[in-house]
Amino acid sequence: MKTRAFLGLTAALGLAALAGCSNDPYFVNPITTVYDAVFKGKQKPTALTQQQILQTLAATDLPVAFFDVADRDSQTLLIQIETNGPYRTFATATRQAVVMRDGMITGTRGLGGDLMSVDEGPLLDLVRARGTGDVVYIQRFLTPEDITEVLTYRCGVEPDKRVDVAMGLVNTPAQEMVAACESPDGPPFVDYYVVDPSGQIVASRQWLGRHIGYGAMHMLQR
Amino acid sequence: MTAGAVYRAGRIGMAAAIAGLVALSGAAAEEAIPSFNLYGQPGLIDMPTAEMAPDATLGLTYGRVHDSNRGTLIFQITPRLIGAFRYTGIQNFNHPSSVDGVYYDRSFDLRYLLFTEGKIRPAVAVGLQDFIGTGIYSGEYVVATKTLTPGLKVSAGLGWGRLGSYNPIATISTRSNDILGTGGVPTYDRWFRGDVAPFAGISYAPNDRLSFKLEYSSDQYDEETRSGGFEHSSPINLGMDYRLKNGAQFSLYYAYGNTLGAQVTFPINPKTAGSPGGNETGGLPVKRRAPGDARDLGWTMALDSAEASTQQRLISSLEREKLEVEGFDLQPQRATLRLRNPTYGASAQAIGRAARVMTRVLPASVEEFVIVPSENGMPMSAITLRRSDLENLENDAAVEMLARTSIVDAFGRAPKSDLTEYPKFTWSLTPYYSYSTFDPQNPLRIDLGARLSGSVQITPNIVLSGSVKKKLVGNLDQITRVDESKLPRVRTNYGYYAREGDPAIDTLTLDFYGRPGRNLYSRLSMGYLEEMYAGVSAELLWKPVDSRFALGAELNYVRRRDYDLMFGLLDNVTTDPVSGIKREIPDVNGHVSAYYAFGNGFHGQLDVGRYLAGDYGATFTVHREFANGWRIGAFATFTDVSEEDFGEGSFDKGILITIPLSVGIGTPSRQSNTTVIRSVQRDGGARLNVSSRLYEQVRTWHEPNVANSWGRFWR
Repeated sequence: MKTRAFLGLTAALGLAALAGCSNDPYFVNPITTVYDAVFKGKQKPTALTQQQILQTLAATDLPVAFFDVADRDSQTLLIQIETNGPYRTFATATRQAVVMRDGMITGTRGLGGDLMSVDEGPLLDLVRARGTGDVVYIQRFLTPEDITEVLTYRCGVEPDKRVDVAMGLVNTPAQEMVAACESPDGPPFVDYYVVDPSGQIVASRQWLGRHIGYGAMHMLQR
Repeated sequence: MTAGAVYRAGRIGMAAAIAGLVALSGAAAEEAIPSFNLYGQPGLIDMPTAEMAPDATLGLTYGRVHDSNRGTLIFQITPRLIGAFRYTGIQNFNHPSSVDGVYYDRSFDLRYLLFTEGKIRPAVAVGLQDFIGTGIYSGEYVVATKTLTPGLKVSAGLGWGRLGSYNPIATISTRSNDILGTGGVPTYDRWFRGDVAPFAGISYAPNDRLSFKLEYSSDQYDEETRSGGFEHSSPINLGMDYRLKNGAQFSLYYAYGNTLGAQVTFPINPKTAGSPGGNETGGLPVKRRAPGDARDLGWTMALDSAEASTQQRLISSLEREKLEVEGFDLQPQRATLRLRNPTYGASAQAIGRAARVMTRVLPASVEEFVIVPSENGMPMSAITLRRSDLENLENDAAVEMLARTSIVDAFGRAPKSDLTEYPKFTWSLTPYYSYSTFDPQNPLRIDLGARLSGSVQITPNIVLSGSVKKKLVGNLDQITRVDESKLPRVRTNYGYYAREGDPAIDTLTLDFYGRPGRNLYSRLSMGYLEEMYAGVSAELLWKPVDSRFALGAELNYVRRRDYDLMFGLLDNVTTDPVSGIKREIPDVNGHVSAYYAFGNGFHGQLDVGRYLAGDYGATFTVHREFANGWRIGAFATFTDVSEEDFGEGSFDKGILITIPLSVGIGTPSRQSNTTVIRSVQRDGGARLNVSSRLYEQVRTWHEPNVANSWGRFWR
C-alpha cells in the first residue's frame, strides 16, 4: 500500500516536473517551450476575408495596410501605431510590426529573420520620382549568431506600366516601378512599387531578406 | 589511454541539449559542409583529406566498421584548425582492460590546414590523430586535396603510426612504444616517426545530396587483427553518402575487402543554427517628442507626484516587455532606471527595449536616460543614452546608437532598490538529468527526475536559494567502479553520492552580493555549496566596465557532505578503499583568477591556487564564444601532484560546451546548459564548484559584451 502511494507520488511529481511549473512570472519552461518550438513552430496559413477588411476599415481612422508574406501563406492587416519623422510603424495586434517610409518597407519586427534597417534614401528618391537610374541600397539583418549582416545592393530602377489602383479606400492612378537589385553578399531580387502622383507608394512587392522572402503590401486606408 | 569514469550532474535540464539537435534544421550553411569519415573528421571513408568544415562547425559522428564503434565530436576551432574528441568501443577485443570483451578508449585529434586550395595548388593539411595518451588510433598524416571539377575531389597523403601500417614505403627513425607519464599527455616522442605509407582517394558528388567515395587505405588494422576478429584482405574501401537538407550525413561502406561500415554525422554551427534575430514579438516603437516639448518643465512643479505616476506607467510598460524595475529616479532632465533583466540573453536587447519604453513614458524635458542593470542587487554598469539620439536613430544602423552610448561603472550611481517588494519568493519544479560517462562497465549512465528549486530574495542582494531533486528512473546508483587514489578522495567518491543521494539536496546557500568600491564586486556564500561540499566561499572581483581584463580572488572553507546528500556533514578525512590509507582534505582552498576577452571571439582564463586535495597549481581555460551565447572550450590543470600520484590521465583536462536555450526555442532566454566532458575524473586539480561566481554575471553588462550583441538593441 505504502509502495503504491509512493509510486503514485513519484509519478505525480514526475508529471508535474515534465509539465514544469513555477510562481515566477518570468519562468521559461525548457521542455514545453522546446516542444512548442519543434511541433508548433510553423505558423498556420492565415487568409483574410473581405469581411475582416471591411470591419477593420470601419473601426479605425488610422492608416491601414494589407500585408502578405507569400512564402509563409500569411496575410494580415497592419494598423499604424506610431510615427517618427517620415517613418511610420504599422503593427498587428500580436505586436508584429512593419516600418515604412512613404510606403517603402524599411524594417520589420517580430516576423523572424527581421529586416533590421535599410539605407533607402537614393532608392526611395528614384522610385518616388518615377525615374530611371542606378542606386545603392543597403539592407541589414541579424545572423543567428546575433551579428549584424550588411548587404549592399546595386539596384537598376525603371518605370513599368501605368495602373489604376482601387484597394480598400485607396483609389488613385499610379505608376508601377521596378527595381532589380544585385549584390555580391546576398541573393538578387526584383521589387515592384506602385507610386501615386504625389510620390507615395500605395502598393509594393518588396524583398525582405532570405528568411522572410518577398512581402506584398497594399495600402487600404491612408 | 584506458577508460575511467566521469560523473557530473546536469544543471538546467536537457532542454538546451535537445535545443541543439532541434536547431540542426538551421545548420544548412552557405559554405559547403564536407563529407565526414568514420573518425568524424572531414575525409573519405577511413582516411583523412585536407578539407575543413565551415568555421565554427560542431560535428557529432557515430561510425561503425567491423567491431569498432566510434563516437566523435569535432569542432572547427578556427577556419584552419579542427579539434576532435572521440570515444571508441571495440567489441570482441582481447585486452586486459576490456570489459565484457569491449575495449574502450578516448582520443583527441588536431588537424591544421597549411595551404588553402588555389587554382593549381591543392589544399594541404597536417594532422595528429589520437595524439594524447596510450593511443590505439595514434597516427599522423600530411594530406593534399584538389577539386578537379565541381563535385570531384582527389586526395593523397602520407601516414605515420597507424596510418603508416599498410605497405610502408620508408621508415623515419623509430617510433616509441613507451607511455609518457600515466597516459593522458601528448605523445610527442612518436609523432612523424617510424613507418611511412601512402594513402589516396577520390570522391564524387553528382549533386548536393549524394556522394560516392573510393579510397586506398594505409591502415592495416594491426591491433584489431591481433586482438579482435578483424581480417584485412584489401586496402580498397568504397562508400556512399546521403545528405539531408539540414546537413545530416548517412553513409554506408564496404571496407577492407570483407566487412561493412556505416556512419551518421550531425553537423551544427553556432553561427548559423537557430532563427536569425529570434522569433519574439517586436519591442515598442520610439515615441518622438513634438518640437518644443523638451523645453516644457511645467510638470516639475509637482515633481513627487509626477515621479510617482511616471513610475507606475514605467513599471507596467516594462512588465509587458518582461523586464522589471527595481528602482527609479526622476530629475527634470535626467531619469535613472534600475533594471532587472530576467528575459533577454542579449543584454543590448534588454537595454534597447527599456530605452524605447522610456521614450513613451517619461516627461518631454527628460533628455538623458541612465539605465543601470542589476544582478542579485549589484548595479553592474550605468548605460547613458540621449533621448534625441533614440528619436533620430531608430531607423538607422544600430552601430550609430552604440557610438553615442556611454557605459560607465554604476558604483554610487544606482537609485535605491525600492520598487520591488522584499522578501521575494520564487520556486519552480522542472525535470533534471544527471549522467556519468566513460565508465567501461557502462559507458553512459543517466538519471532522470524532478527538481524543486526555490529562492528567497531577502533584500536585493541577500539571497537564500536551493534545490532538491528526486530521481524517477536511472542507473547512476549502479556505479561500482573503485580506483585507488594517492590523494584525499575529493572527487573519486562520486559513486557513494550517486548511490545514497536520492532524494538529494543539490545546494542550499545564503549568498550576500555587494559592490565594495569602484570596479569591485563581492560575494559571500555559505551553506551546502555543491554536491560534495558545504562551507563558506568568499569572492572579490575587480573588473573595470570598459575592460577586457578582470582579476578575481576566491577563498573557500569546506566540509565534506554526507553521502545521503541531506543536511549531514562528514569529517574531512577519506579512506582509500583500495589501499586503506587515510588522507585529510584541507579545510581551506582558493584561487586567484585572471580573465581576458581577446575580442576575436576567444576568451581565456587562468586560475592559480590551491585545489580541493591541497595541491597547488593552475588551470588554463580557453573558450571560443559567440555573441548568441554558445561557448566551446577546453581546460587543463597542472598542479604539484606528480603524474604517478594523479593516476590515469596524468593531469585534469576536459572540454566545455555551453548551448543557450534560445537556440532551440527561437525566443529570448538567459538560460543555457553547460556540458563538461572530462576523460577521467581524478582527485588532483579538482576545484570547488560554486555556482554563483561573479565574473559571468558582471561581464554581461560591461562594454565589450554589450557591444558584441548590440545589433539586438533595436530588436
